[in-house]
Amino acid sequence: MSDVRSHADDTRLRALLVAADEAALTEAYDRHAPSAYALAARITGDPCCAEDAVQEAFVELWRHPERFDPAAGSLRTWLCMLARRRAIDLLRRQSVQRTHLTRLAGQAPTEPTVEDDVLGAAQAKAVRECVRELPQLYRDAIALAYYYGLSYRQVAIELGVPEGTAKSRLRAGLRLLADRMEAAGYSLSGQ
Amino acid sequence: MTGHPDDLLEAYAFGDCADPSVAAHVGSCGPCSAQVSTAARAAAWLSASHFEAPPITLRSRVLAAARSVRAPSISSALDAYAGQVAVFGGLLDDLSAADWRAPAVGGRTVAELVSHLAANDAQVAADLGFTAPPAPTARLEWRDRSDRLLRTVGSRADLLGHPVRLAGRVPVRRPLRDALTQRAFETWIHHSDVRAAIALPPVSPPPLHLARIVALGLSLLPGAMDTAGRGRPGVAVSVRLTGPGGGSFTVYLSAAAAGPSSGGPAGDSAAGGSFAGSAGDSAGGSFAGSASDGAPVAEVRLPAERFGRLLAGRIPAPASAAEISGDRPAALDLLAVAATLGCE
Repeated sequence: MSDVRSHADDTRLRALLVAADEAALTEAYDRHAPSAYALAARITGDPCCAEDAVQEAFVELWRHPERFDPAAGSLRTWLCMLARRRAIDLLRRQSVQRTHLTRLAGQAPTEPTVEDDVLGAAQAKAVRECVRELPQLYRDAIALAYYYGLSYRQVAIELGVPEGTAKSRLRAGLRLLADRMEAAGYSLSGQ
Repeated sequence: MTGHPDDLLEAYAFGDCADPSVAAHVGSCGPCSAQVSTAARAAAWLSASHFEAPPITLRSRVLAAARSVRAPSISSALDAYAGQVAVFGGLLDDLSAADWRAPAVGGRTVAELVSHLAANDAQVAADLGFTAPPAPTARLEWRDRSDRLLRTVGSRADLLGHPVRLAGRVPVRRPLRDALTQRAFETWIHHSDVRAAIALPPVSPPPLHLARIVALGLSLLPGAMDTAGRGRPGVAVSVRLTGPGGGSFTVYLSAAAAGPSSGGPAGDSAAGGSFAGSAGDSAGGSFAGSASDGAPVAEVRLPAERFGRLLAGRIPAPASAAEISGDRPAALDLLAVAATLGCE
C-alpha cells in the first residue's frame, strides 16, 4: 500500500511545485535530500561539491517541476538523477586526471547515517547487500558507468578489457541488480 | 545491431544522454526500450542505496537559491485546483489502454472526457492570453493544460481579479479566482466520472475545497434563475448544506432582487450578486444571510457533497433527496436551475 501512497505523494508534490508552492519544495527537500546528498557525496567524495549538486538538483526541480513525470518513476529517483548528473559535472570540472578505480577502492561501503524512513531504510539495505553480492567485475563496471558517468570506451580503458566486455559486464550487472531486487519483493514505486 | 543506438542506451537510462534521436528511437523500439528500462531500474535502486543527512545549513541555502530563480506563490487561490489536479493526475497515470477507451458519462470515452476537461482548462489560460500547442494524447493534453494554468497563476497573483469566461452552457465572466474554483469543481467531477467508468467508487474534495465549490455554485444561482426564466425578484430560499464542506446560506431567486447590502447589480466578486452566505462547517452552521427584505420562503437541506454533484448535473434535482420545507415550487425551481450549473 505504501507504493500507492508514495505515488500519490509524488503527484501531489508535482502539482503543488508547478503552482510555485514553496511548502511543497521544503517537503520534497526534507524527504529526499538525504538520498540525493548521499549519492552526490559518494560521487564527488567532497561534502562541499555534494552540497552544490544537491542545491542545483532542487533548484532545477523548482524551476521545471513539469519535467518530472510520476508515471515514469519516483520523485526520489528523479532528484537523485538530477543530483548525480550535477555531481558528475562537478567531479569532471575539478579532477583533471583521476584514477577512478583508486577512488572506488578508497570508498568502503558506507553505512547510512540517516534512516528515519523505515521502508526506505530496508530497501537501501537490500540494495547495498545486492550490490555487495554482485561479482566484482560487474560491480566495477557499474561503479564506473553509474557513479562516474563513464562511457563503455572509458570503462574498458579503466578496466583494461575490450569495449564489448565492458558493455556485457555492465549490462549483466545492471540486470542482476534489478532482477534480484524485484525477486526480493521490492518495488521502485514504493520508494 | 546496426541502426540501434546501442552504445548510448545506459547513458540514456542514467539521464546522461539528452540526444532527442535516442529518445525517439527508444520510444519506438521494443528491445532498446527493454534495455533502457532494466538500466533505469538498476539506476533507481543504486540511487536509493544510501541516506546521509546534509548539513542543516543546506536547507535554507536551497530555499534561497530556489526563490531567486522563481518566486513562490503568495496566494491560496490555487489550493483547491492544485489539490484536484494532484489526485486526478495520480489516477490518470495508472489507467490502462482499455481504461482510456472505456465509455464514460455523456456518451464520451474516458479519453474524450479528459480531453474535454483539458479544453476547458485551456479556455481559462486563453482568456489570460496564453495559448497551448496540440498534444498527442488526452493524458498529455490535460497535463499540459493544467500545468500551464498552475504555473501561470502560481507566479501571477495579480491576475486573480482578471475576468475570464467560466465553463458552462451560459457564458458568464468571473474573476480568475472564481474560475479556478470552477476548475477544481470540474476536475473533481470528471475525476469521479473516470472512476465510475472503471468501476471505482467516487471521491470527495477536502471539506475546505468543497465549501468553496458549493459557495461558488450558490453565488451563480440568482443570475442563473433569471437566465432560465425562473427568476423571482425579492424571494429568498434558505439552503442548508450538511456534512463536510457544508454551511447555511440565503440564496435569492433573482439577481434583480439584490439584498440591501449588495447595493447594485451582480458584480465580479465571489460573494457578489444576491448571494450571501457563511461557509462555516455544518456542525456550527448557523443561518447567516442578508435577507432583511423578507424571510426565506423555503428551506432546502441536503449534504454539501450531494449538492456539489447536483450542480454538476450528476444527480437530477428530483432525485437529490433534498429535504424541503416551505414554498416547495420555489425550492424545486432552485434545485432544478442549480442542476444546470455544470461545465458541459
